Amino acid sequence: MFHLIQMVIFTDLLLNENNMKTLTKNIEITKRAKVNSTVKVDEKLDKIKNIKFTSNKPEEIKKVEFKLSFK
Amino acid sequence: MNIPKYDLLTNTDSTLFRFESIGSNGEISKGIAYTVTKDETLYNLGFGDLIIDPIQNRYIIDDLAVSHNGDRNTVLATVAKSAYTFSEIYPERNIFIKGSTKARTRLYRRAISLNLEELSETFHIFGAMEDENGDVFDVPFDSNGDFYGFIIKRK
Repeated sequence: MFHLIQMVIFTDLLLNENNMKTLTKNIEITKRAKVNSTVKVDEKLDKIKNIKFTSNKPEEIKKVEFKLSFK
Repeated sequence: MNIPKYDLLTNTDSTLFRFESIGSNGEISKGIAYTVTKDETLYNLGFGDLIIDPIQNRYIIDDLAVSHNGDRNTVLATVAKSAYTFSEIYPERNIFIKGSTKARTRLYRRAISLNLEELSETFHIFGAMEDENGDVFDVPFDSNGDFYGFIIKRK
């Protein structure tokens, strides 16, 4: 009987811990994505000069002649 | 745009942005870069997973990656936010958008179509077509158009 009570308490604690983890994760996601998100300058990004794209698309687009009229 | 977006970090001249996509596959770094085209008033918007190549000590934007992170609309809204920021700082610079695949270009067309009214408050939106010589010209945007890409111009 004592062991059974111990097991029930242990299972209950485990479930609570998992629920807390899920709750924390959800709060974190809500915190990260929001309607009024911010834009902040990070000077570390200034050090990134040479960026390559896997598709090489920007390099291809650099060769394209654009004839724009905006009519 | 009334869609949740991630916080953005940008370099000093607002040509490079970074954010973290958080979803079912965890946290994935994303990069957005605005690079000039042959037309110096037109900047190409490219984005994808941001990867560091430690061997060559350089950054790669994997614009072919399929993250399956379950936050596509949030990611697209965040990219759109960067376009608002970029064009607010450089209103004379127009933005060219083309998917790394045809399917992605169609996805961007749908995303523009769904938010056309709100986007049109700030931008003139054009479709881009290719002529027989491979040159690209602008036409009015059409939600059903089969476009080479898109051009947005700050009002």
